[in-house]
Amino acid sequence: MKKVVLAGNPNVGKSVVFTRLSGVYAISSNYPGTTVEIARSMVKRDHSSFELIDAPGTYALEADAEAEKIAGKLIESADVVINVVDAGNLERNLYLTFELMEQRKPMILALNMWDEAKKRGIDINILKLSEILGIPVIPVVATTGEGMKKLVQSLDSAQVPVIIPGSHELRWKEIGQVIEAVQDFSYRQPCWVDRLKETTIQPVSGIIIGVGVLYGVFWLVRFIGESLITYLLDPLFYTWYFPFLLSLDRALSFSPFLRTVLVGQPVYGTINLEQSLGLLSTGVYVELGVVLPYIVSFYLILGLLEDTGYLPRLAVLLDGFLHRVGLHGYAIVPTLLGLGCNVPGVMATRVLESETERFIVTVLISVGVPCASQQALVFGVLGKYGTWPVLLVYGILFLVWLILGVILKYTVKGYRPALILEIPPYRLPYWKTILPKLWMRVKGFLREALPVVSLGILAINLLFMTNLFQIIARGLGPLMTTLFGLPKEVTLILALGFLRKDIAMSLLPPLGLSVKQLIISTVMLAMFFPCVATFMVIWKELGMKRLLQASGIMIGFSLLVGALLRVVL
Amino acid sequence: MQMKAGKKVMIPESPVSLVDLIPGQKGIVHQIAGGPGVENKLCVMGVVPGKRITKVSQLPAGGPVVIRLDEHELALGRGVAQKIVIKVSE
Repeated sequence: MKKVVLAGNPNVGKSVVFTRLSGVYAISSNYPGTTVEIARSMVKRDHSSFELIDAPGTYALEADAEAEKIAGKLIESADVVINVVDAGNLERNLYLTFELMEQRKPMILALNMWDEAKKRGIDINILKLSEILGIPVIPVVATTGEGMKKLVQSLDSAQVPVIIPGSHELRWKEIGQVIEAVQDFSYRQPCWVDRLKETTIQPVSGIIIGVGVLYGVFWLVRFIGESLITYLLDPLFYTWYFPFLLSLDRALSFSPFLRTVLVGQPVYGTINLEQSLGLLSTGVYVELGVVLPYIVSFYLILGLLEDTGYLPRLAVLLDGFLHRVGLHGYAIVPTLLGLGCNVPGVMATRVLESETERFIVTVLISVGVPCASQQALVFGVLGKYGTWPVLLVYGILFLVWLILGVILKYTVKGYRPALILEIPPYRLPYWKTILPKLWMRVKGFLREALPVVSLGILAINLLFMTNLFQIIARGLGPLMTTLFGLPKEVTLILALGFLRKDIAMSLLPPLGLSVKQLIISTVMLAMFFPCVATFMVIWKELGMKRLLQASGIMIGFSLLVGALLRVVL
Repeated sequence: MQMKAGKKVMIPESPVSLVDLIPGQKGIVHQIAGGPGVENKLCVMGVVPGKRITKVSQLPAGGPVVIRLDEHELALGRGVAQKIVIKVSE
């Protein structure tokens, strides 16, 4: 079957083109490096079909970063290359085009964001460009679908280009001549977007706005999440779901085992959605009633932030600070994604060039960046004691992140490349790209979380029923008590954190802990060990050796911090 | 060194490091005084000798330098920016 590869610079809209052509959704955002996983799909045409592959964005084919190596291999295997180009940035984009042409593959040039370029006063002579390059040139607007039909039709007329420059200088020289011949630029008054671009990147105003944006983001995530719980989910759960559970409980009276597993133990004589620990009571309520609203609200706000193009600017503002932790500014992107779920966070480290840096960011994410599920439970468990315990947990985790970062900077040797980052223009988020992205991520959460949660709750119930819980707790209990001042049961909760940290945290309130004990346990639980999903992704991304190192650091640090907190708090 | 009349902005005659440009100043890339690795990476992003650039801003505490070239903006870590030699034009 014919292989068609979409190649192009980062952030030119390859994933949007992919989604348009194949009907299969590929995540897209307004920053370079969104695509870290290769999307493939069969596309049917009139009589034939072909395989469409969305390659990660790359500036050149001689590669440094992981993403570029992957792209290079994909292009080698391609039958036809569709080179997606940002029409508003033709000159820079043509460099890769020239390198692609040197591969002597049948090619098509898709001039994307054609509308935006025109608005900015850029005029490109398409016929002439096609004539000089010797390949079809199709103007498209992927977000609206304009020109996509023509792009598919032109696949058959893809041409092997003729220009073969072969070196840096020759390429830029030729590109200069091409641009001279095909591009016209009419002057345009600077508008408010230009002023915004300027203000958000200047030292003083930029940092003030950055702090404001971050504060606004966290406030909004919390506000939307809480509103969803108070006005939508809690009413639904208590008016519809709770009566259903009560009748189920009565109906199951013939089998105490099934009753315990499905509905759970009564608390003060009745079923408690948060504490009964049944698959259908606590399992469903914690995931769908407590965690899901925060997942939805976090990914909605993150999606908006991603599509405006603000994230790379944040990376630039934070670069100086992050250098002190041995990272460069772009590490903020995986870190922010990690606040949703550590799994995509760890995957997003692929945008970083060196293995050393990927390892450091991965460790820092899994130790100091609580995912949205954990954060929902930190609010749930500690929120009732006021704001300060919640802030304290965040503060401690941030401090740990910072100190660990500095330690790793000096202990992990390796290549740390400098920051060279393209800053995309601001764009208005478009609901047609925001909503599918949100849905993809929420679906991912449900698919990931629900089976593991069920397994975790089943495991807890079995441990309780067989008295194994008490036996293990008694064995490791003295250690817990002397080191951290925590009751012996917390040992098992920490162990359960391997399955899912949110469910493990929801087990804390029934133990009747003091605020100090709750703070210590939540912090330790957050740091202790990666959850099974993160564990697997670190293994897959960085290998067994790095996984063991990361886990060792996590266990060591959480024990240390737990013991320290006991003394300090 | 020469002084522009009316404005207190000095335009150095000999090429200077990008870090020494004042935000708002324009210039032409004169030379990349770094290893082949950095030179390559800058090259594919369009930062090559002869290119006209504008310095947009410089973040404090060793932060990056932001430049504009053609129609887009590029952030360069301080270490990289130091290696880019610019002939200031205005």
